[in-house]
Order: sequence, then C-alpha cells, then structure tokens
Amino acid sequence: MKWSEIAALVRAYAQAIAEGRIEAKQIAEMTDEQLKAFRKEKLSSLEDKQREAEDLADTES
Amino acid sequence: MKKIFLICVILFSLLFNSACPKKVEKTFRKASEASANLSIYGEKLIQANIDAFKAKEISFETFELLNELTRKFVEGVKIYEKALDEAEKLIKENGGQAPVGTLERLSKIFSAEVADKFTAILAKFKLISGEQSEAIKTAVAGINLAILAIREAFAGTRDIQGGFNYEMV
Repeated sequence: MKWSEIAALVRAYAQAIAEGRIEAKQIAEMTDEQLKAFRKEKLSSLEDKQREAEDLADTES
Repeated sequence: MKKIFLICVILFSLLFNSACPKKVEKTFRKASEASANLSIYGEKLIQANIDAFKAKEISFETFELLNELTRKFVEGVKIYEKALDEAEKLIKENGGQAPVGTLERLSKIFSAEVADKFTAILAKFKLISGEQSEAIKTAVAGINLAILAIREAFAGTRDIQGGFNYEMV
C-alpha cells in the first residue's frame, strides 16, 4: 500500500468520525423505542435512495 | 458430596444458560445504535455515488459497480434489521434474557449478510484508497466504523445454541 493510499484512508476515517459525532450523540440519547423508530425511518430512507440510484442507472443505460 | 456437585451443576447451567440481562441489554443497544449508523452511512454512500456520477467525477461503469455494492448492502441491512427485531421480541418474551444462542445467531446473520459481503467488495474495489470522490471514501469509512462497532458489540457473546431460526431471504 502506498503512502498516499494510507493518507487517504486516515483522512476518510477522520472525516467519517467527525461527521458522525453529532448523530452519534443524538442516537445515544434516544430511548429504546425512539431508536427502533429511528432505525426504521433510516432503513426506509436507505431503500428510497437506492431506488433513486437504480432509476438513474436505468435512465443512463 | 454428589448432591452438592449436582446442585453446583444445576446452578451453573441456570446462570450461564442465558446471557446476563444487563449484558444482553448493553449488547443489544450497541448493535442497535450501530445499525442506525449503517443505514445513515449507506444512504450517504448512495448519494455520494449519484453526485459523483452526475458531476462526471466517475464513469458510468464505476457508478454501476458501486450501485451493485450498495444494492447488496441494502439487502443485507434489511435482513439484519429484521433479525434484530425478531431477536428483540424473543428477549422481551424471555423476560429480558436472551434465549440461548440468540445473540450468536444475530452476530452470524450480521457477519454473513452485511460485514463479510461489504468488506469483500471493499477490498476488491479499493473504495477508500482508490480514485474515488472524498464523499464516497468518507461514507465507506463510516460504514466500516459501524461494522466494527457491531462486531465489537457481539464480541464475547457467550450463548451458543438454540434461539430463533435464521433463513436466508
């Protein structure tokens, strides 16, 4: 592995930790029921986003 | 002497037949929190892929390659989420204790459906260290961190057999 690749890895993880810090704090403060509902909501958004990507791929191909 | 030994065996099996409720609760909470992060970073990854393609930063082939990865990832997360719900139901029905094998099976489902598939594809396409956009690298790193958190939550899960049935969907 090249040094530039290692640097890219470190940057990516540092950025992911920084971006996720606020969300992680909010999630940690949720009750179990709130967390369950939040998980459902996020899974649904994830599926919607994947459909959006599939539609874009269909349009472009 | 035999009676004492027998009592010890019974007590031992009662104590260790199901995981300690507090540990189960903690493991479950950690796995549940990290699961939310899987969906959050997964959505970010898909969005980053769409944005990079629209901005012509990546080719259609790379866009499709990542699409294939996220498609499998979303399917895996769905299966794991379903298993998480089923395990939670079982634990509630069992008075806060995990029926023997429940957590280990959940851990296996997670490994088979989410972690192993994702890390295999990740290694194949060098998604973090390769020529991808910064947003893609960050989202992939976020998913990796969530996977590590779930693996860490399940590490040391003691119970071995029984629990709910796992069927590949």
